Amino acid sequence: MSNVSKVPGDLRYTREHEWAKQEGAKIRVGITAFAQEQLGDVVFVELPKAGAKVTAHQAFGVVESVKAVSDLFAPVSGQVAEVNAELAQKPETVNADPYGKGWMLVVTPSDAAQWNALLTAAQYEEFLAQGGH
Amino acid sequence: MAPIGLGARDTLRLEMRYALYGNDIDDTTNPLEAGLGWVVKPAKGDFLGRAAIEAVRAKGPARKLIGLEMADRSVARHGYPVVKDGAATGIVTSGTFGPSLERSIAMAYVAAAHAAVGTELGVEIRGQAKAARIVKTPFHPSRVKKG
Repeated sequence: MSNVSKVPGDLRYTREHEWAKQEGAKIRVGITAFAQEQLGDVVFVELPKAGAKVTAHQAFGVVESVKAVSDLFAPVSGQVAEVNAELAQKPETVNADPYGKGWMLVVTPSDAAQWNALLTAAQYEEFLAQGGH
Repeated sequence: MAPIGLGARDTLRLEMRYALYGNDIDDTTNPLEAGLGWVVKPAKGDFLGRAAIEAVRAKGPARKLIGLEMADRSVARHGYPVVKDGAATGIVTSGTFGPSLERSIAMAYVAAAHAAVGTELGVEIRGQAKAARIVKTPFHPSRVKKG
């Protein structure tokens, strides 16, 4: 296992292993190091288009690894402001840099209160320590 | 050397188009449609199932197990429908992203009329027909020495 327990402190998390990062009024979204480790080699990422609506706790896309296909869940509701187009050609970036270049969406949230409902880094670490599901 | 698991082994056998019992062949398929006619030797005399296989051989199989290559990286998996110009023509039996090929590949039964190499088909993935093309198999060049 490679650094899966290293959980960035400035992010918030879901129990489905997405991370959320506040950037001004917007929120950047990706999947955690634990998630990519569990999936194995990511070979395809299907994301919504900019302008699409996403809903907290509901699927906004899918990630395919060699082993399985998994839904991606939105940490917060809102409108997609930006999509990581590079993942179409280089999905393995999700494995290589899940908290950085492997980001998936930037969302303009419609309900600011949802941010506070997300897990803190400490809570997510505890969740992982209990098995992560 | 490094340990590997079933997922890795599955990509390797699929790149070589080796049928997996339970996925690509089972008690509802016949060896001729699966491209396994070479393992059946009717000349050797009678055996269980010989008449059934000879009947298929006389008519030609109604469907064939073919190799598909996806136009993009989406993964066709076991049970996904195969369509030709919007109409159902078959079903995916195995599919994966082939790491050696760096392409998504699959095996599928399709109607014999749509089973030629080069045929453009679609695989329904999450309600969307994704472009696929029938290619020669094995997907990966064989290094098995014959004779």
